[in-house]
Amino acid sequence: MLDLSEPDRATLLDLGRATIRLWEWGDPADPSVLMVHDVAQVCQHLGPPVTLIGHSFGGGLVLSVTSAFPELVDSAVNLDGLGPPPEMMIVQDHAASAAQWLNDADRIDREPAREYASLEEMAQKRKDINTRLPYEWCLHLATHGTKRGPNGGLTWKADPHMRLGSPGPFNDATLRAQYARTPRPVMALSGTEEDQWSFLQPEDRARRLAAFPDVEHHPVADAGHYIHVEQPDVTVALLERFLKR
Amino acid sequence: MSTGLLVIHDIGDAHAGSSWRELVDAWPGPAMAPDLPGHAETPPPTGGAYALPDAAVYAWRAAEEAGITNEGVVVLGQASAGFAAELLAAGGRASKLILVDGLGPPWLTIEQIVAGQQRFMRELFEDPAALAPPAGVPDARLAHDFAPIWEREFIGSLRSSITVPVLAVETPDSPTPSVERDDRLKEFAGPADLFYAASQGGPIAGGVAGALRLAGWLPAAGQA
Repeated sequence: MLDLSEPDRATLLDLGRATIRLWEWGDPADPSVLMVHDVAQVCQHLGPPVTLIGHSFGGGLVLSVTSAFPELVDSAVNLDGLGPPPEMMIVQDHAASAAQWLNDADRIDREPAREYASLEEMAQKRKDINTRLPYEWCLHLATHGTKRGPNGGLTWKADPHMRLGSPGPFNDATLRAQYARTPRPVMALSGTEEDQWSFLQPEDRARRLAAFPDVEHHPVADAGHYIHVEQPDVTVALLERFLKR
Repeated sequence: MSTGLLVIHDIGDAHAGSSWRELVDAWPGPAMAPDLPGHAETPPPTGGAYALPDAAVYAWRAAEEAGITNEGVVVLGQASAGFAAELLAAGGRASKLILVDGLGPPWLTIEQIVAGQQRFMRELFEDPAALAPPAGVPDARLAHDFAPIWEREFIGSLRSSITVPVLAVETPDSPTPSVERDDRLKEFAGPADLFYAASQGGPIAGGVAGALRLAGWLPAAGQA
């Protein structure tokens, strides 16, 4: 197992819970800047430089922190979080996109979050989406990722505004420009198996990896999006080697 | 009912909507210039964070609650709030679009956009007042403006989706390079005109009203 005895420490961060300026349901503001500041503040609290490990959106977040606040970061580990495929970030129809964004902002503000009857129902819904994720993990996510809604049912804790995004110049080129401004070692892991939310094609991944000044990439066999869940031993072994380099 | 007017004031304007009282009063139909969150009479948003497109959501909500959107509405955006007005126009929520000093600063490369985003995050992080819970209005966070968005391809594509008539009113305070103004107007898909308004150091609503009269978008004084 990964040796986390002193002087090493590991901290798991619930995003949106450590911030001074809390980002709450009902606020249409873009959360990403606040989340970057959350993580940066935690780094300051822990005592920089800190190694950051992030999965999926969290993987993108740790790269944003590393790029903007390199003095707080020793190195970064990205678990299948190099961003969406380029084609998903291309806006084909700005009129339709703007109308959709405005409608979604209205809907999120006005409609209450969907409530579910049981943890098992939410776990199964998650299992239907993340088919490679064992049901026990789906139940774990439902158990720790839900709260009571106003009508007594269960809702996801994740803020629905996370799905809204914010119109702006965000595309493959901006991601690669950000990665090029990352002056710390980065290790990126990706699963070899097709999976939900693992949509980045190998050639696009290679182009993004090539933008980093100092990066190593490891494809992990028999894993999809949840690399650390499907292949924990391999993930830990790669982490140990990276941290000791 | 006459077409309404929705004014989205400049982000960070300490006078907020009141800067536009002269134009609101002169408009022949229902008109409003709501104070955006963190400005004047409107407290900071829950959580105390801001993004440029949010102004569109807040302003539209205020206009809907005031009932001025039913017959179509002319949307005016000032300076950086012009982006919010453009979003409303692109999204089919404006019958006409007025941009006051809203054509944008010099274009930035992708690398400059990313560097600007990081500079923005660092400046906020280094300002204790901006990180602390909002203590009043205008919110200290607003002093840091916003992460830059002025990438030519993105803005040009957005503008090419705006088909309603556009009137750009430029004052001496405009950040847009004067030699680029005509080219930027050509990016809009619909008819677009450019007028100039004098800036006399105070609220520019009077000068803008004059430009709108010259353009025929506002009746002559005394004919409203």
